Amino acid sequence: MAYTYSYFVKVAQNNDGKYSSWLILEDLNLHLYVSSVDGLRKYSAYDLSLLAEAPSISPSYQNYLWGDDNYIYTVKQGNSSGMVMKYQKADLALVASSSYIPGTSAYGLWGDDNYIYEANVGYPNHIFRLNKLDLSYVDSLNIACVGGIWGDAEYIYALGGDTDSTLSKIDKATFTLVGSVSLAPSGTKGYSICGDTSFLYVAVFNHSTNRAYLSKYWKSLEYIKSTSAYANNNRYAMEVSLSGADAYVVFAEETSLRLFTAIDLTFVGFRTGFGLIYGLSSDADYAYAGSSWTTGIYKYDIIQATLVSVEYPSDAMARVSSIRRIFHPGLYRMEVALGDLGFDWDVAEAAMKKITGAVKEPEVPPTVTPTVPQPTAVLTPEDWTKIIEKQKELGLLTTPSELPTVATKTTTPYTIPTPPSFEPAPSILETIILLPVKAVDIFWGLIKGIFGK
Amino acid sequence: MARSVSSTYLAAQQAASKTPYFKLLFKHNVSTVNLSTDGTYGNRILLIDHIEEPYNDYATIIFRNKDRDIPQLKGYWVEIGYGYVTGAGNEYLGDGTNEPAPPRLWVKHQQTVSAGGKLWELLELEGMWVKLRETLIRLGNPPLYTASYTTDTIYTIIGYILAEVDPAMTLAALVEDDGIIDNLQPQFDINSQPFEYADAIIYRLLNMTASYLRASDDLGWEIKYPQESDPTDLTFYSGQAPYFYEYIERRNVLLPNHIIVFGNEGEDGLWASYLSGEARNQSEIDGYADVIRLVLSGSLTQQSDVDARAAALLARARFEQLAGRMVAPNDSRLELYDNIAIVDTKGL
Repeated sequence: MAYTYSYFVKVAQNNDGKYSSWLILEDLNLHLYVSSVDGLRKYSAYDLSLLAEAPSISPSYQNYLWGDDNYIYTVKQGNSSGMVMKYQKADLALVASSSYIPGTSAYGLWGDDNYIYEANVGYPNHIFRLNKLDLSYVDSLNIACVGGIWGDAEYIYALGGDTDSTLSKIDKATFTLVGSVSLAPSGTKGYSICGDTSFLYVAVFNHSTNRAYLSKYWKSLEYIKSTSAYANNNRYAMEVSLSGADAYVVFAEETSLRLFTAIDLTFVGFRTGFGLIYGLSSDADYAYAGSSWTTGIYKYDIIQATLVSVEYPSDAMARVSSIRRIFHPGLYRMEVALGDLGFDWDVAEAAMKKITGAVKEPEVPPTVTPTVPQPTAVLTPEDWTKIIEKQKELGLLTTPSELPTVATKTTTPYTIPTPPSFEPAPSILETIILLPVKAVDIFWGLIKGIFGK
Repeated sequence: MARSVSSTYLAAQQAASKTPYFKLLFKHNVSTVNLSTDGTYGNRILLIDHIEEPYNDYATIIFRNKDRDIPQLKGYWVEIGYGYVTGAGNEYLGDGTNEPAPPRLWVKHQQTVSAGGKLWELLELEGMWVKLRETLIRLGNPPLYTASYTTDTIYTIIGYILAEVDPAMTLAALVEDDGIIDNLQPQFDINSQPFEYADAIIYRLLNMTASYLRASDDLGWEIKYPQESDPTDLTFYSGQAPYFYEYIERRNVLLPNHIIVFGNEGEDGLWASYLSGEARNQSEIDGYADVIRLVLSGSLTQQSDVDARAAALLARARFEQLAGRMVAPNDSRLELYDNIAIVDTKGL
């Protein structure tokens, strides 16, 4: 089938007037959690209807999100300090909160079975490690991280920022820095990171040229490649998310959503003209994003395939010129001609239909002379057997070589029958006196005996 | 514009499983024979095969007649009420809601068929155009019945002709005006040679225009003027209702693609001051060759009329080429000269 493809087609929205700063899909992609200055909210991922809400705690706002099976974690930040907060997923009831974490701003949040990791910038530039149960302070690692963190079972990957254009790798077991590289392309700083089993995908921005890129790394921090540069006024709305069972990477920058293949960052498609995109998450089929434009959240069909339609007739002057309506029980249909002045079947059309076998009901009875079945006039071995039996009854059996050749009209290709092989005459024949007969008498006797008069 | 049918009619028509219904009231003077699906004799309908063409319309209807009780119908007329058993009951064309009914058909031949142990009644019906074909026009005085028009428009003359038919037919008010049919007052003679029939006279008149004549119910006719700008009346789809089963698109080289009309032959017929008007389809000429048709229309004395005649003939040439054929489930809304679209989403 032939298709046309559209990208990031809006399929649902909730313009509830709420801002968003971070989005994550949770609960088997059934629910969408959103943090912002307006607090923490929970939406149905199906239609973006609001399911629960936890108001923001003044004067701070909430940013970043991470979730486990039962809880959602966010950072309340402001006034040169931050606080990690823990909510029940079901109703967004506040369960626990950490002590105030000093620093200018939070720039990332991640977790595992035991800890919550919060990246903070200011003083000190640390990634803080908190006990997941009660959010009590455990320890911290002194690296600047202003672009976000993402982790797997063994490592945390952290992005440096304005003062540190690096990608760092932290061993979770020892909570120590095990490697770092400068971000590529040269001169860029990281703003968002995600990964799959083998690779990291990083949204980076060059402040000198105001260009945004999507870069790909091995988890060993070996650089693989970057996309083309995209003009972006001021590192606005840099987000990255995996989609399509990790086959695609969604890259949000400023007011555009762009889609790349995960394997080699080949550009697939994009849509632009959104408001500044704050917050991005995606599953196999849909991307979810917040927007400063209408202060709502949106759901986009990432790749929408539409069957190619062809419209006929190609001549705009063609009109219905003939209609044939046919009804008989079981059939109620019409044949319509466009143009022309009647139903004269075109020769080529009829030939085509004959080839395709599409002729269902010929308009006229067939004009060819039908083949009338004719009785077969060729004697078959079965016929021969009957003849012989009759011959026996009549006592006319002679040697096979004297059997007459049956000369009859044939209407099908004549096939010479295979003469039967004869056993020696049965003993009873030895007692029969063979009369002197002519061959023609034998023949007619046979015929009369078999077929009657 | 396609017929208007009710929502219940349309729903029944487009349903995956539908029950057809036919209103077949055969009428003659005050006599009516009801052979509808639910008519006097029960459902006897074995076949309806009804064809409407620009200059012809006819039908064949076969009934079961085991009881030999279907009466003589020769000369009766019927307007076939195509319909369905709908959520609102039996709905059919011509029932007052679903309008109009198809054009009238007259029973011209009635066959009683006894074969294979069966008894059938087969009706051969002919329609409005055939009625015109049978009608000699006697607008002038006997014995020659010649008539001549110089101050009547084509539309008006067609109206005169239709009124001569028995029973008298009517021409609806002009809606689709091609700018010729109700403006041009041709020098038009009737019966100047052998006696002329209504259909031939109307055909001559229509060929001066870019318009066509469509039969309607109640002995009515209306003028149809196809234009490129016409909106689509009905759309048929390969993947959704209303469906089509088959569609064959036929792209044609337009022949002729260049019309030259000469007018004003003069009183002496010597064409000393002739006028010429041209209409051409340049893209068709570029795509194939310049194929010219020359037309002598000596009675046209205005340049605008000559130009209009050339344009009309070119339009007719384009319209009258077979451009497509469709087989689809019956859609009673469809009428002749409707502008339909076929949306096909099949293909590799």
